[in-house]
Amino acid sequence: MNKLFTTPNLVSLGRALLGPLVLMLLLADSFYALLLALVIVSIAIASDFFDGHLARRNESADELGRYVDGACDVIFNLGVFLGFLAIGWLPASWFLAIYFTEIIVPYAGAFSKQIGQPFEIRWSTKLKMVIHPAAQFVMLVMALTMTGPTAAGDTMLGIAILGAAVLASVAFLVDHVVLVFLRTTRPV
Amino acid sequence: MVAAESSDFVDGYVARSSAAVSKLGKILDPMCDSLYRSSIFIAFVINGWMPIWMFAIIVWRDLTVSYLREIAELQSETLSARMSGKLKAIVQGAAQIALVAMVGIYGVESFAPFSVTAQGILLIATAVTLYSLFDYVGGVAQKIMRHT
Repeated sequence: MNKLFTTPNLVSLGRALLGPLVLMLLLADSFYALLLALVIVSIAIASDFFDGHLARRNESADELGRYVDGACDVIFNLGVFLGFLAIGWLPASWFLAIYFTEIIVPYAGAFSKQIGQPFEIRWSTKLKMVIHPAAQFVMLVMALTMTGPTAAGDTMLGIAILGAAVLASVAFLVDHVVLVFLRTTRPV
Repeated sequence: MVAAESSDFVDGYVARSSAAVSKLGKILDPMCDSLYRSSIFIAFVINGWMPIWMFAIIVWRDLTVSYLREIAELQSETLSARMSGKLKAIVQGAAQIALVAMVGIYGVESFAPFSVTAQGILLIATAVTLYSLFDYVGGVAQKIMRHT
């Protein structure tokens, strides 16, 4: 049975609420706000491992929990990327690439489910789930220790890290759209 | 922009009148609305016409609703368009057209993005978006509760 208010789901929902907080901290434009943003991103990464572990240990892992976890991850990640956009680390076109992916894939998932072939967890989902938080963590560490907040997005390393995050999103999008196309044109 | 907003009414009308309503169409219509309006709003942000927090609310609403659609399918229920979603679409579209019309009237140089009128228009669009977010979350939460 799919229950909404299980402990792992509440941990996931709590993580989603941290997204707006990180956005506000990044807009505050101070060293300590950036440090706190890094702490919150680290907590979010830890909680993402913790809620899955908790769900499996309590045997409350279900399909609803998987979707709630994924949705909360995306809501948190987009909060951080919006912050990166606001402080000039992430170009608008790169933000749109990440954002459009996160809009299109769930719609594609709903359609796939309607035709009786729901998405399973794919390699591109796992890749994105690793690269997005890693990119956020490294960018914040770099801004705090090496470059300072204003230059972090302009360094080669910063561009490479954020570029990898965008490429992970593009791979996630292409993988799922091709899957839906193949399923609709060649139904099982 | 007027043509794009008009197409939002025309596509549904044509689909119904020509009996071409499909599952794919029901998915594509709200998805393309989100992508189109977000693109305009991000241009407003880049131009300094719209504060990032307003855009953030629009982003989170659209993300949440797209995932709620997938979650509703888990309960074998299709998340149909709610009145708040239609209201949000009309208000957001009207706000975008009004703001661009203001820029056209005053000229880019003289346009004051933080005037009461400009910010009032965007604030109304953001408030309706937030209302729509809560309405969809409440609707899907009720569906999930009914199934458990």
